[in-house]
Amino acid sequence: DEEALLPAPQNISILSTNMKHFLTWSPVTVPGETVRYSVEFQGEYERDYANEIWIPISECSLIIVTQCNVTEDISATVAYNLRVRANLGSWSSEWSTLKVLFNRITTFLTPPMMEVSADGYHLLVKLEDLGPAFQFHVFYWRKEPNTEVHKKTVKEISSVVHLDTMEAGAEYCVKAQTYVEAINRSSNFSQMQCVRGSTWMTTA
Amino acid sequence: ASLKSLHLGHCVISVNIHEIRHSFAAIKEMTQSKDERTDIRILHKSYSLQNTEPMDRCCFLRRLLRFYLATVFSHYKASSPLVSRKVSSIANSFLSIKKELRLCHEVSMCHCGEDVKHKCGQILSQYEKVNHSLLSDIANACAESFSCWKQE
Repeated sequence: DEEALLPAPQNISILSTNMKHFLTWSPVTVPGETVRYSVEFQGEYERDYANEIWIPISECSLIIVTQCNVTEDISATVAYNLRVRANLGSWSSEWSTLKVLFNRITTFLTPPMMEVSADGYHLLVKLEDLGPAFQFHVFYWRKEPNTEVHKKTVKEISSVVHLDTMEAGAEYCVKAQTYVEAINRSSNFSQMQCVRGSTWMTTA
Repeated sequence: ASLKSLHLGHCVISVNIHEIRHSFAAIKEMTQSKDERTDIRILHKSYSLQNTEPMDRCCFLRRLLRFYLATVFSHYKASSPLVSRKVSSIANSFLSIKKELRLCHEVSMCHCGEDVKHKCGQILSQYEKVNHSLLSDIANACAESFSCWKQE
């Protein structure tokens, strides 16, 4: 049986960060040969309504690398299953399937990178672009006792976001978190950054 | 924003319209070229969500999604691997919406009036007239039902 000769890929898992999902696995080694891999996915619809069919991911068909970007196909907040098998010439291994179904709601959300600056009296922040699924909640305040904390929601990333007009010599601090509407979850906060006029410092 | 709040009588759900439309857009052009019957529409405007009594909308949407999931998509024969993947995206998005509606149903916020039963019967009979393996009418119909989901 040809399938038994070619071992199935091991250690199959999903790495999901900031709504980007990658299937990874350990390589299958056959001395002197180039082993290729093919990946398929199955959503909850396919299990519940479509006789548990599997759908090939063409970008990850007969590939040499041991990872596949499945972001485009994990496009609903339901449980997905994924599998990979090895191919060598006409031989194919058994399928290796995820041990636990994957739902994008479990993606790891990193605190956003941000750059706070002062342009004269203007308090500005620059945020990293994480894609259309992301919004940012930016909190800023004047660094003094009993200060009021302001919140600004940034839905579309432009180059720089104007937060406030500062009083001369006053120090202002900023922190931010990402928010993903599709899964209704937020990241942890970024490190707080404070700025005063034209000089600014980062709090350890 | 990609998330839309849909007010369906007392039932309020969030729907990621952007992702659904993104998948539809990918298959719409491809499927329309294969459409032999352009005179039949499964979802006539009068069957849309907007033209349904607010208190009946939850039930209507639930039945509409069940119709797509259990009938329309299962009959459909994907003409290409890409279409198959996009139909999967749409179907799984529909399923996640249907699961949200189930929560409303479980707390009796999904009332089913006679009007809804009549409409669903009409949709089914319209569907019987088309070639089930073609997706074009579905792409049209669904795109319309989504656009009429836009918040009034």
